[in-house]
Amino acid sequence: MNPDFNVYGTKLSSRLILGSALYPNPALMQQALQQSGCEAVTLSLRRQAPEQQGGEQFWQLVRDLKLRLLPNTAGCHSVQQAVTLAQMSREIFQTNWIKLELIGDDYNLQPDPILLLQAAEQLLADGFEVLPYCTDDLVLCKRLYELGCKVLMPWAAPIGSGLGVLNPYALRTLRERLPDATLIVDAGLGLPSHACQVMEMGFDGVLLNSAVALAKDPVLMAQAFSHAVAAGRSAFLAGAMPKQDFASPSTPVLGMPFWLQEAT
Amino acid sequence: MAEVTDTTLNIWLNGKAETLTSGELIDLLPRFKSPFAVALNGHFIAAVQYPGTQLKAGDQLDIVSPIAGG
Repeated sequence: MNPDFNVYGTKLSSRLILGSALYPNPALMQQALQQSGCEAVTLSLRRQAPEQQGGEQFWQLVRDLKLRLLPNTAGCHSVQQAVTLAQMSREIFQTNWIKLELIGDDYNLQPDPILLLQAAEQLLADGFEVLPYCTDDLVLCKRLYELGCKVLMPWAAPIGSGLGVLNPYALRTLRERLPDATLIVDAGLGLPSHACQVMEMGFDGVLLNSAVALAKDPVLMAQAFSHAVAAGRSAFLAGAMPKQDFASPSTPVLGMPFWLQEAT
Repeated sequence: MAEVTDTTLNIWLNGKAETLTSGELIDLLPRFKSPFAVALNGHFIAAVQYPGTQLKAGDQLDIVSPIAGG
């Protein structure tokens, strides 16, 4: 397991990465990001509409935070779309990091595993540091890792669902089988306890957006997730006690009063 | 899209029909606010390529800027 939270050679002290979308207003986004302690934020690109104001304000706020930028390819349905959007992102954001999203189904926004592999291969060859948003499928993740994706971002549940970890077995297996990969659970987390759960499994980090942005108090929820991620990491490092199906008294039995030893 | 004449050029600009009087990409860009990036017919056009990139009828031009994302 990686002792550091290592994203393509960059060590991050916070294991929480937040998205920048869906907040009630830009000021709350800024406060939530600051209070979370995160060092990286996701963002995207869309067609510029001069008649729509606000884009410049968003960009200025994000720049002022001086966080590492993780642009995504959200909404892409083909390899060409994803590659082009990644290239545009690299030029604007001046980073080789790309959160590769390639949607295979519009109902659950499930990543397309086949196109994901094809796009990842092209982007890696073009010098990108690819962080693929993927399902928790072990073989897919192994193939992505073998291609050169040092960071993998399996889902816990569909984007924006807040359902938490739907398949803990699959995530545990990923951690077990890919001990040297940087594994970040991305998408589907709704509560700090969900984040804590995957960090306890040994995941390297957590990426989320909706759970914070759509909370009644996004700033407080950002702090809650920060604590949960740190707690889960500490618990993983501490090592959990073994489970058993029967009770074991924690208070010593020896010396219990009111008990009489019958003469033999 | 408007009828093509000798002096105009019809393209798709950010998904909308647009009639241009110049086929030079560089002439179109001043109306957009920095930062932006450009794709022509689905392929990335690096900033260094703006001068000399010629548009033709029916081209699809996308000009994108930062937005919030998850």
